[in-house]
Amino acid sequence: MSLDFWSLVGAVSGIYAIFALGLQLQFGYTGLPNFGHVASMAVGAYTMAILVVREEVPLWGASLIAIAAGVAFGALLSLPTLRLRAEYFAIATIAISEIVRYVALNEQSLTGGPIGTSNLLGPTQVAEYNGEWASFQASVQAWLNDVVGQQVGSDFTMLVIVWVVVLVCLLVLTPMTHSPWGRVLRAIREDEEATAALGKRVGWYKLQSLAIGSGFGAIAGLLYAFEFQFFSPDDFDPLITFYAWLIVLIAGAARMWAVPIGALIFGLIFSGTRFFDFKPFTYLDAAQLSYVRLMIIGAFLIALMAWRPQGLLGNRDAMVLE
Amino acid sequence: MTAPVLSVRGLRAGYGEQDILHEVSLDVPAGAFVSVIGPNGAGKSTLLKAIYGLVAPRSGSIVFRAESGEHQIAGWKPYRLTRLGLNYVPQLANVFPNLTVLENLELGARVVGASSKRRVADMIELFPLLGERPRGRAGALSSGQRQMLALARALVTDPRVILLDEPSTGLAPTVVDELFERLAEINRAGTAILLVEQNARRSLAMSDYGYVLDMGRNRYEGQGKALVDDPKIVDLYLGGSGRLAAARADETAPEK
Amino acid sequence: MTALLEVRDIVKHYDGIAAVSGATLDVEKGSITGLIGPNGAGKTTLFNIVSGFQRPEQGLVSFGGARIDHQSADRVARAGLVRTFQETKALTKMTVLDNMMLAAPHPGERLTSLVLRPRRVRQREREVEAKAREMLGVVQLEDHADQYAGTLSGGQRKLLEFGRALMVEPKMVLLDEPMAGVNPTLGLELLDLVRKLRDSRGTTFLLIEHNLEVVMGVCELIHVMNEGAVIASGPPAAVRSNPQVIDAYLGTRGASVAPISGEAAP
Repeated sequence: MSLDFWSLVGAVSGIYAIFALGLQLQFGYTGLPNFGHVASMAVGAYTMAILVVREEVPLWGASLIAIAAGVAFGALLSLPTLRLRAEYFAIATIAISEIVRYVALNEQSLTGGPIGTSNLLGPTQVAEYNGEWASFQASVQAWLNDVVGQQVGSDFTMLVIVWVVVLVCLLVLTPMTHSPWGRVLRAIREDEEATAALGKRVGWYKLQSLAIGSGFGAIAGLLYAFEFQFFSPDDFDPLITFYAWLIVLIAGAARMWAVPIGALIFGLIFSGTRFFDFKPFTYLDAAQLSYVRLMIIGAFLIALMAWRPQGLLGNRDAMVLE
Repeated sequence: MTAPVLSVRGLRAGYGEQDILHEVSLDVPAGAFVSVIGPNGAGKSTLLKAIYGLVAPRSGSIVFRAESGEHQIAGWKPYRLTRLGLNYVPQLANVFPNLTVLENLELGARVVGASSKRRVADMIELFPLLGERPRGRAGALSSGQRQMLALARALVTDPRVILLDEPSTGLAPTVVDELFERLAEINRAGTAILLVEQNARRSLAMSDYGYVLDMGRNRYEGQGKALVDDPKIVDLYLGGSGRLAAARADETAPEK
Repeated sequence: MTALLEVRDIVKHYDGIAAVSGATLDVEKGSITGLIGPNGAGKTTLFNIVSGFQRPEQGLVSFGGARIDHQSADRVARAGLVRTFQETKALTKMTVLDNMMLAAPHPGERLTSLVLRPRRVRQREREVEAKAREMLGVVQLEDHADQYAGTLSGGQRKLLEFGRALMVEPKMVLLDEPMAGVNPTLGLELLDLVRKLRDSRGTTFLLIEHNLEVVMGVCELIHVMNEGAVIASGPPAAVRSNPQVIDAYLGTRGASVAPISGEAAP
């Protein structure tokens, strides 16, 4: 199909890459099975939209605050869940992410309710938060036109922007995880007791991991919001978290650079049938097709776990999933 | 003298890479009371588990003479052994806490397809403690009562031999007295007993024959009464028998 | 002068049974002290309480003059009291070198230092690596530094855990059955190490061990526990010939049960 189509697939893959990077920090590195990661995406997107539309905060300021909100959400998430063992932690995080989604759904005055962000200023006035972003994107597009020498589409521009952000995220996360700080996380992942016996404050590290990972989730939420120009609570249902898990499993535990590759593979599988299947596009598809896609994904996951549980790109000796 | 009901020869078994038992042998004559003692880590629990099929033997033979004839039982699954007349009482987790006392006993009988009513009634008679609250939850029993129930459940199938793994662990002394009295009664009624115990002296005092294991090997054996006061055994338990130097010599080290 | 570790009247129950009932003992600074007793005597529970993995119901523990009995495990470790575990907790998904470097105190473990003082962090990382390799040499694992700890044998993992505990530069080490599952030669080497470290660094050691021959050989003072309490304390020879200790290990005959042969019990 066209460059625009693949650009869209690539851009959305990049957004999911950033989203999955956050989960990789939480689960792949620290061993925290966060099944409510989509909530951080929602927190990021909604915080920005509400601030821009209602409080008329400039986009960049609102975005920074949105990322901070994601970090704070992650920190808060850790408080009730820190002492829970794996399965119970997972259940608690699903519950919390559903609470976030239900608040977004029901607090119409805060979030615009089920209709989504277009309703942020009430039913009579269509709300838009994307104005500043659109002009930023246009200037990037103009710059790209010069660089490439011909007209590029807005989809391609978005693709470039998203993957630059992916690169920046990797450049931040990689040294962090290779540092002594990252070493403590990996130790916690394997054996909390042994790590505590060496004098490390295990709870504090878990909190940091959840908070920072949720910050990346919020960044993914921001880019999602900019890409699709409006969103609603349904865009943040638990299935999205499942996609991030798929990407993390494909990539293998504790490998940051493998996550974007995993995201691209994931994107390719999804678009392999030549229909978009990322969440916002399901309006366009027959319900059956999305089920077929899930079946394919499910079969792929089973095969992966059976033959290569360390992920396509992982290292068997460092494998976490047993 | 008739052939022993249980004969173990050259048994080797372990977990993972390591062997715990290195060619252990013993005999349990029909209707006898035999004890296995030894310092910690000697492999006593592993020995019982290897006989009962909970740990796979790596080499050696185990012969059980059942009603139906002689069988090589090494590696057999536990339920087959129970059906054949060889039963095992583990140290922990040996009753179903959410079932009643009666249900636990009935379950024991059902494993061998026996008619449970009469046997269960027999058990209640033998263990009056259990008759006090037969419909009570097994999990609510005191630890002493739970051991009695575990023992009764193993007996309800009328086995020829029962293997007991440190049954007195965690029990108060008076309860231990009661437990050992029951064991003596059971043995007098004809069931052979192979008992692994921490309390070496007590079990040896009650035994026809005793085996002393150390680091997975046969070390001493003899008549129960004779072993009770043997100073070699005190040395074995409390160090000073030179066994470590001997083991090291086995390894290769040429030093002192 | 007070002992480095003081344990007073510790009580702890599990499921209504007293695992530890009034245990009291001292460990002198710079000593190699043993803690022995039959199975179920409460030794590991006491270790867990002293090292902060469990809380006592009654009693107190003081280390270097300060009370530690209700502190968390990581706090106790930071105070200089570390322990090893009965089933080794080598971090198998990390390399041997990583296991060792993890233990050393390091500013690079704080994100603020990573961001604000990268040079100091790199410098410390080099120092820690050198120390780790040196310690690996001491425990004879230097050739395995870059292997995953999961590839080590049981005995090697024990050595690794031991070396790792020492990277913390502790004042005192609790060793929980260091010889269990280890072949005798390696075990004796480990004990030589204990002696060497005590002689060169003044580190205090308290070890639980079932291999009494070993304990008698390396410990200056031995505490004996039985049924949750400390029943005897003294040098090896005294402990070995103490009738209460012998009874604890071999049990008592029991007056009420008649032996099978029908003779009256003594």
